[in-house]
Amino acid sequence: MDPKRFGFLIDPIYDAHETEEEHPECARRIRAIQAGLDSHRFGPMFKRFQAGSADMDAIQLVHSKEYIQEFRSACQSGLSYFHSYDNCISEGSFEAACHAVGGVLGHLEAVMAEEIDSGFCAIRPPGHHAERNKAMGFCYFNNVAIAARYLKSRYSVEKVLIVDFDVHHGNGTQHIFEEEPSVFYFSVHEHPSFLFPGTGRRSEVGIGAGKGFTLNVPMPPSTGDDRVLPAFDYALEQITEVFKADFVLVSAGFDAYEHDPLAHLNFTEKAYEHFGRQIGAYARAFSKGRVISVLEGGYFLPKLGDLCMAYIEGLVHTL
Amino acid sequence: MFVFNWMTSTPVCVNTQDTLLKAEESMKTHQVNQILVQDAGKLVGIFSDRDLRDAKTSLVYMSSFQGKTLKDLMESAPVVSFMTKDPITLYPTDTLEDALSIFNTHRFNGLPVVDEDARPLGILTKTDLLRAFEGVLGINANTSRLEVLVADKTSDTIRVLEAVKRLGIEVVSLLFEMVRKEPPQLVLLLRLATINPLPVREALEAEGFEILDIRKHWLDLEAFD
Ligand SMILES: [Zn+2]
Repeated sequence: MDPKRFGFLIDPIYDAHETEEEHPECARRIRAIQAGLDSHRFGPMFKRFQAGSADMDAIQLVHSKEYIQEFRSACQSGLSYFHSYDNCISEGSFEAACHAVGGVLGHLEAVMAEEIDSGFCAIRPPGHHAERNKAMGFCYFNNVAIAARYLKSRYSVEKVLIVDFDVHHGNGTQHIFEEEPSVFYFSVHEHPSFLFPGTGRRSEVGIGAGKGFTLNVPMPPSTGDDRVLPAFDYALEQITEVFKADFVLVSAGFDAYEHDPLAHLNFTEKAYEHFGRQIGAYARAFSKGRVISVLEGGYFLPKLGDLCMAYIEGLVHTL
Repeated sequence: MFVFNWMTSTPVCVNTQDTLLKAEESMKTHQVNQILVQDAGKLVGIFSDRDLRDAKTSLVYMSSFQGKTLKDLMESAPVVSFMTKDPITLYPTDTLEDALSIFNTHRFNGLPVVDEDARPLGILTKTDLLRAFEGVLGINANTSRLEVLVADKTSDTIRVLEAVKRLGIEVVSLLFEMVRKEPPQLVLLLRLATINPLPVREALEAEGFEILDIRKHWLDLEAFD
């Protein structure tokens, strides 16, 4: 595809979500991605976006009014964490989180208005651990889940595929959609016996009408490219047989990288490029090339920018 | 960790004069594999799906020369003839550990829970027990796990917990495993309520503790097969 048709959202507003010193989910992550973007040959070609704030109606597609209010007042009243010590907050965290959702939704709108075909949102805080009414694992609003709901309610998109390759299982996203056959959640992650949040076993396949529309592929510690690539391809083949999505959303986390401090998998840049290619191929075949990827984890700053760009290169190459 | 917190209360009961057919229907309606048999409100036995299977086998054999159907025989056979009489029982105040030992030495799938007058209060099934230990071990909580090599259970554990406390992280569960007898190798398994065990790992390593490297450990295990 033409890189000019690829959107890239990156915005200094996310610095407003300040976390304590040495916290892995820090503002420098976005700067690391900025550096990766600037030094890449595609960097100047992508269409750049900044984030607007999401309105409350959109956030309420997933989270309750009370939860949103509770989070807002926790930030305003100067508390230092929300729901658990993991979830550091500062005064600006609420605003940043609203702009994370807003940034993603703005990107969806740009795709639906055919300004771009696909894109990447370098947002924080991340979202896939956030449950309807519970902040968890550095996540407050479930950006990708809200995006899926927004596509369905605002644009009447019928079927959405969510691919989540963050090293942690996206418990929030899975729980939000596990009873729905119109949103397929596919996650590849480190096995829950060894890593937070302890969910995402193979046996979790969806509930009721949603049975068969959740696919978890847990990987044992030390899994490298040689094992994950065939597993990923096989899973995507299985999905292709039962689910042809109108739109693809990606929870793009880069913490399965071999030097990431938070987990125990050994993926290299090649794995991310491969994910990009395979997701791109699926989206081109079934979803008119419509893929929006949203940043989740990824804590090894010296490589984070390169990993993002490797993934995007794979995507752009195939789309 | 007491039985009353984890048992299935309001157990399904039948009376001594009830028939096998009645017992089978009770099990079906309530979808249970064991029912209690009582006489004047006191426990006299337990009747399980295994007892039912054995009963049916012998009744089928009898029906062949008595010219009656299995159902006829089940309608007249009393459940007391096929139940396990005077089963091992638990008091609600017994510990889960005791229940675990009983299950470990006998082949029961459920144990009746009674009060001092032998009145049935509940059943503790193997499933209840597994659920209890799953809860106690914090397996389904959202945690990170760390395996720390320790030399002894008390003073090292105190040092470990103090380091965790300084970092303001919540301990969800704590277990010991003797992973090797000669020379002794003791592991402390910690489950912490955090996505980020890094500060704990660093603090413990700074104190000289060795933490199991999961990446390496897994590769070593693979070398086994
Ligand atoms: Zn993650």
